[in-house]
Amino acid sequence: MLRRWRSRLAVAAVLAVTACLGLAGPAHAAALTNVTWSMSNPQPSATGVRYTWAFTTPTGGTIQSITFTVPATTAGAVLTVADAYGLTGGTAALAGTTVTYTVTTPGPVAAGSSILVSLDGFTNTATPNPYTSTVTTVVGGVNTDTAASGAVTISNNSTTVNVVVARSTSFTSSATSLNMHMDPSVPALADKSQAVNLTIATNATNGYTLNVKTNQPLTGAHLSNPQFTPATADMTTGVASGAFANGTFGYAMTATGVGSLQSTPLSNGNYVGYRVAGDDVVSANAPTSGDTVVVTNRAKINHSQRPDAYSATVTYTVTPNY
Amino acid sequence: VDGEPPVRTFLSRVAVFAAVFAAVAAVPAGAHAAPSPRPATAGSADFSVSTASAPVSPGADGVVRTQLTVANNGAHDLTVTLRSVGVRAKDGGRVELDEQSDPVWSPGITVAPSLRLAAATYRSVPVEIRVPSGMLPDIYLLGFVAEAQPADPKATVRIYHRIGAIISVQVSGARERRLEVHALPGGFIRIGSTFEGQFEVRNVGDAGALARSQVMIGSGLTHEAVGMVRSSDEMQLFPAGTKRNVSFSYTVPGFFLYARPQAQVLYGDGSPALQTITSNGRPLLVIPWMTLILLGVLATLLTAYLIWSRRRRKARRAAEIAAGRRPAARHRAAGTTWAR
Repeated sequence: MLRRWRSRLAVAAVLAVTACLGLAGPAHAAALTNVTWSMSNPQPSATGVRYTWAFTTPTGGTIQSITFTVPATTAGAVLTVADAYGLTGGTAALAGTTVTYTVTTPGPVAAGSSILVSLDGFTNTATPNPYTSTVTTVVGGVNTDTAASGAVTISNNSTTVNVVVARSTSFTSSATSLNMHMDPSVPALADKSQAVNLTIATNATNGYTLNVKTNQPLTGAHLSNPQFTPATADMTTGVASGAFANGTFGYAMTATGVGSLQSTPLSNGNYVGYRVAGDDVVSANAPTSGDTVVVTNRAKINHSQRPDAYSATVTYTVTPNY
Repeated sequence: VDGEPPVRTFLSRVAVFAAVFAAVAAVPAGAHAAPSPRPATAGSADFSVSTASAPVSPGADGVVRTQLTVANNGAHDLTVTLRSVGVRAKDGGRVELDEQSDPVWSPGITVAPSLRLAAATYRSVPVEIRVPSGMLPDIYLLGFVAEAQPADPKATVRIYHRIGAIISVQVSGARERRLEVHALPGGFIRIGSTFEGQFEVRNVGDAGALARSQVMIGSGLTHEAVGMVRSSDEMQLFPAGTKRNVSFSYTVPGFFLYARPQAQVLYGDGSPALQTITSNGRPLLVIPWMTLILLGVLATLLTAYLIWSRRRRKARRAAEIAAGRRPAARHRAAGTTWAR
C-alpha cells in the first residue's frame, strides 16, 4: 500500500518539475522581430548622423556581437556608442557595408528582449535611394538570428521631423498677496484665515519639490519691532486648529495629486509656522499634470497684540527634479 | 411608492443603481487627475518656465546660446523676474537652488532680468552663457529662478511664486567618469507575482555622467537569462558625488521563479565605447499566489482522495468480514492479523 502511494507521488512530482522547467526552457531560434532602423538626418552625404537600430530577439543566449548592414559608401571612421539597452556596453566599427557592435563583456540575454543600439558618427551615402538594413545577432561565433528592417529613404527631398519637448514646469496661484484686516474686539476679525490655492504641473522625470519660506515673522512697521510668533518653530511640530494661540501666524496645508506632504503635522491637519530657512513641504517623484496644494494661512490675535501694520514675504518655490 | 408592485420597485431600483454605476464607470480615469480651473482673480499668478530638454554645449566661441521660455497663462498681465542662482546637485536627481548667484558661472550669464507678459502670452528669452575659462569637461547644472511679482506690493503678506529651472551645460572632453552599482539587500522569498528589487547607482568619478540602467533576471536553476527589465526610459544624469536608487519589477510568467538579478549600468565616459558595470543581487524565490492556491487545491484533493480511499477500503473489509469471508490473500502474505 505505502509503496504504491510512493510511486504515485513520485510520478506526480516528476510531472510537476518537468512542467515547471518546461516553462523556463530555452526558446527555439527564429527570425528577429520588430526590426527598425532610423537615422537622425536622411539627407545624402549628411555628416554626424546618428543611426539607431531596435529589434526583439526571439532566442536567448550570450550575444557577442551584432552586425548591421548599411548602404554602400556610408562612412564612419569613428563611431561612438550613444545609447544601448537590452545588452551591455561595447564598441562599434564600420567595415565596408557592415557595422559591427561588439559587446565588451557578453552576458546572457533573455529570449524576447528588446534591444536598441544607437551609434553616432555616420556620413550618409551620397546616392539617394530607399535602403534597408539587415540586423544579425552573433551567438557563440555563429550568426544566429537575422532580419531586415523596413526601408529608409535617403533623399534630398526627405524632411527630418524632430519634435523636441522642453523641460517644463508651470505654477499657478490664486493669490500673490494677502491682506488681513484684524480687530481683537470682533471675534470674526480676531482669528482670520485665508487660503492660497496652488497648482503645480511638470514633466520632470522625478517630479518636483515645493519649498515654502518667509523672509521674517510678521513684523510691525511703526512700533518697536512687534511681531507675530510663528505657530511652531518648524514643520516637525504642529498645533491643532483649536489650540492655535493668540499672537501667532502659521499655515495648514493639503496636497492632492502625485505629490505628498512631507510633514506629519501638516498631514494631520495641524498648523505649523513659516521659517526663514524654508521647508520642503511637498514632494513628488513623478511627472504630474496638475497637483493641487491648498495653503491655509492663519493669524490670531487678542488685545495684547499691539496695533500696527504687520508684514512679511512668503515665497513658494517649485523646483523640478530630473 | 405605495401601491407599486414589489417587483417593479425592485426593477426600478436596479435600473437606477445600474445607471449610477454606468455613469461612474464611464468617467475616464484621467478625469480625476484633471487640473484645477485656472484662477482668474486680479491677484493670481499663472505662469510656466521651460528649458532645453537635453544638455547644451558651447559653440566655437565658448558661449552657450539657449533660451528660457516664460509663459503667462493667466487672465491678466504679469511681471516675472529672472536671475541666475547657484545649484547643489542632490541624490535622486534632485537639485537645491541657492538664494545667491553662482560665483563662477553667474558673471558670464546674460539674461533679461525682468519681463512684463500680457495675459495668455509667452516669450522666449535668450540666454547666453560664457563658459568660464579653465572649466574641466563635465555636465554642469546652472540654476535660474523665475519669480512672479505680487500684484499688491504693499499687502500685509506678499507672496512670491518661484519656478526653478535648470539648464545643463555639457563641456565635452575626456574626464574620469566612474560609476558604481550595488544591489540593495532584499529577502530570500517573496509571495506575489512580481520579482522586485532595488539597487543603488553612485557616481564616484570626478565628472557627471549620463547613464542607463537595466536588470537582467537570471534563472537560479538553468543560469540562463529569463528576462530583462529597463529601469529607466532615458539616459539619466548622475552629477559627480550623487546617487540614485533604482527599482525594478519583473512579472513572473510561470508557477514560480528562482532567479538572481544582475543590475547593469551603461554609461558614456567620453570615449567612443559605452561602459558597463554590473552587480549581482541575492537570489530570490518568487511564488505567485496562484501557485499557492493551486497547491492548496491539489493538497485538498489529494487528502480527500486518501480519506475516500481509506474509507472505501474499510468498508470493503467490513463487508468482507460481514460476509464471513477471509481477507484477501495479499493481506495474509503481508502478515496482517485480522480479527474474526
